Amino acid sequence: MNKYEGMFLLDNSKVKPDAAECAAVVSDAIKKHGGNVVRADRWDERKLAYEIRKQKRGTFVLAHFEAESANVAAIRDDVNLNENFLRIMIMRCGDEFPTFLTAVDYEAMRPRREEEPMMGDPAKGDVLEEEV
Amino acid sequence: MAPNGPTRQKAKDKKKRLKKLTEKAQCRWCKGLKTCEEGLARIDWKNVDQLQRFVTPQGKLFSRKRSGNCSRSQSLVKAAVKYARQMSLMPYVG
Ligand SMILES: [Zn+2]
Repeated sequence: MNKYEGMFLLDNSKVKPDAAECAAVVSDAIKKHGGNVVRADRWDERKLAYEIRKQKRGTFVLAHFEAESANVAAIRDDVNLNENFLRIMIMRCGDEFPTFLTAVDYEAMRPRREEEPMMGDPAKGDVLEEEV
Repeated sequence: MAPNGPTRQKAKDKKKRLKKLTEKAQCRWCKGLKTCEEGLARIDWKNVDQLQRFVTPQGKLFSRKRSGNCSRSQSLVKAAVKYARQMSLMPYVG
């Protein structure tokens, strides 16, 4: 059994963007192939960077689970054929699961711009590279 | 004859200059850390705000020169941005 972190993008028109229901849909997909779900929660409901199957918004669900490597391939294949899912990303974790962070947590740990200017300031004459 | 006076000062300056040149340049991930792993572990493809600082407003990756990343962190950032694009968290274009 390996530890995996999976991000699932659900179709809002097929699955209600409701926290409990989304988590259940993802949990079922993993459990169906003998995976052991440690935690599955709605990550965020947001506007997509680009349209997928005519959908402009989608619901992201993050899941931490344990499974055999062969079963992970089965989960991936199954999800790719399932109309409820728009995208899927499964990553192998090391020995430990990383901290479970939702989009809200990421928003909270965003550094404020005035404290730490990350990029060069064009006003100070820093060169902004323009690639053609 | 032992060097003293201006000669010694010159040697000191040279040493200083050399130190500045050979000092390890550190990117923002590894800065001030004993091992790079701690810093590189902070690169997360789900953290869109973090990755947004390494791409142009159009969504294109900054060069290493522009982002100030070291070779390892740039490679990880690059991969992270690509994962985020696949999941529609970040745009491929525009
Ligand atoms: Zn570095």
